[in-house]
Amino acid sequence: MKLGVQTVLGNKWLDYALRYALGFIFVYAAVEKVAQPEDFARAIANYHILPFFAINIFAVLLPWIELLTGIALIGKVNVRGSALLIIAMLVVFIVAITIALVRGLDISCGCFGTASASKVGLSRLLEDIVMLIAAVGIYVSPRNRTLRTSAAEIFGTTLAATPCDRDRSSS
Amino acid sequence: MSSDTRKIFAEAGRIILLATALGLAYNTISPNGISLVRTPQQVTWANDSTTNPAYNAQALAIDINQAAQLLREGKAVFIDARHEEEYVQGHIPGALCIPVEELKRNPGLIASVPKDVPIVTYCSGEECELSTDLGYKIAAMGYTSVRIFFAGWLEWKQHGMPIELGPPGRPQP
Repeated sequence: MKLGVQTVLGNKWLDYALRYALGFIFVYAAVEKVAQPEDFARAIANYHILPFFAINIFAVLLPWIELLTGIALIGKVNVRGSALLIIAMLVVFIVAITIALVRGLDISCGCFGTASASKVGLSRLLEDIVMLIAAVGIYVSPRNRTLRTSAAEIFGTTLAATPCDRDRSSS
Repeated sequence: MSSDTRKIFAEAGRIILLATALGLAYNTISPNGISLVRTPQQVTWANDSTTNPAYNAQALAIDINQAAQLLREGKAVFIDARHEEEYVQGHIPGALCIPVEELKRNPGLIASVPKDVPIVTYCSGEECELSTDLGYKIAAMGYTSVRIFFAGWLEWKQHGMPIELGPPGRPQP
């Protein structure tokens, strides 16, 4: 079964589809928040989850993390680190939306900036869960392992550590 | 920690560092930049008696004594800007429950209130922005004496002021 999942995730086109889809969604979601941090800060404040003083710094930095991780997925650089950050962000979003739903808050999601004015709701939660599954897929995909890692897994660390291993990346 | 895990964390760390640098830099130069520590909203305070408010298109903030006086006189309409769940657990007696989003959707909610009747909005306290949002929205609708009870529900309760429990009423037609 594990092999099956790895084979499917190793598919070149699936890898492209997942990275491009998730990458573009995150870039799209980030753009308006980067441009209008005050709107995003208000959206965060409405959730009543973060302490008041922390809201603005969160509103300034989070959109940039979304933007850079989105670009990284599309450009295929730092893919697994980006996927890990996206997983972490989506978990935070899912928890926040769940809390808002449980409290019965009738607030704007803030998910894609405030211009879209979408409300917190089950569909937002489902979207995030689907994206979370995609992000985990990208994270575990054998396509996004580095050459060095694969070699180390197959031959053990001794070979990968030899000086004549030309495939070693410098960082 | 395996070298693989270390590499992934290093990647994630690099992205966070870069995002922090770019985010702070952009926030500094952007005209839409915000202060990094959030401060309660700035409001203009009503500086005289609120019992005979002069025409003022802008919603003005009032303190607890002014709010209490308006409640005693019974001429003002109090509007609770919080969510209904919070309203049900306690609110200023006679207050309507109209979250700002609801009023934006349906401005007719306060159509039965004449434009010159004093309106007092409040939410939980100085850190919530619902009362100011609602106050500005109502003032923009043409109401001429809108007041924001800025310290809001928390201070009202702390001062042992009269409260009322239960589900919201609506303005009577």
